[in-house]
Amino acid sequence: MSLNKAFSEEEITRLFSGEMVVKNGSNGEKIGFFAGGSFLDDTKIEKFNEQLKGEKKMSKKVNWERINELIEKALNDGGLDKAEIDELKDLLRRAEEERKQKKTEKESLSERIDLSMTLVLGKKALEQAEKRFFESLPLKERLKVLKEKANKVEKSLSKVNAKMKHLEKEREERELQEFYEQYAKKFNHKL
Amino acid sequence: MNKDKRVLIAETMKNLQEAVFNSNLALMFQYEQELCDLVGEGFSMGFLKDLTQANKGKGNIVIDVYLSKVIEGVKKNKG
Repeated sequence: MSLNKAFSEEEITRLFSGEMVVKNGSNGEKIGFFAGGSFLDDTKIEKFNEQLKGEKKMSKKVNWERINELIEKALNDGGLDKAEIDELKDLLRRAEEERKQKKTEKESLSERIDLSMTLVLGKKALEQAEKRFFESLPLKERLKVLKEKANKVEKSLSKVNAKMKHLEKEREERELQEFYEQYAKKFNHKL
Repeated sequence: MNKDKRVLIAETMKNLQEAVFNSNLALMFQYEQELCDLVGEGFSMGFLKDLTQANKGKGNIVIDVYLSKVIEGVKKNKG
């Protein structure tokens, strides 16, 4: 539902013109609008805003037909250019999100299988399109892409190394504490 | 806080042990003094005594020639 559907044109005009602003009797502070026989405070307006946001999200519904087109082009029609690769990547990411959100919804088994198959096929097509695109690049560009990939790997490796170092430090500290405890007990030493 | 102290004491003990095993007299005296400051003489000498007894006769010159005599001397003085 949108504001347009919830109110008549006149009500909306009144609401947005602010001509029916309701003020607090004691301090004159604005507490809401009075429009077409309904009082609208901030909470109600916020609720309508959320509904509007929801409608915007719905309009970004994943275009499964477009995914199929791109898959077809990637696998049987000479591959994809960079913009199409990015588009397919984005569509697949959103399609997966949509599938996760709709898990609870009732769907026929064949429908579910169809969509899952499209996703799997889409990933394969994307992989192939990326490979073809990479191979079509001049050597200099290929090296650039490889360097970027290597940098990403290096970054994630350094994160893993930092974590390993942290764990190693914890282990060493634990062993040192045990070493101390062993003698502290013997010589009755307390901290 | 206590965890940090325990780790610091244990590190000093390990350093002292290492200095003895490497026959590094200068470091041995330094770490023994540090350990003594951290946990007292009883603890630090007790630790050295244990170290000496566990490694006596294994060819470590500091233990066999020096520390054994010191530990014996402590025993006699106590006796």
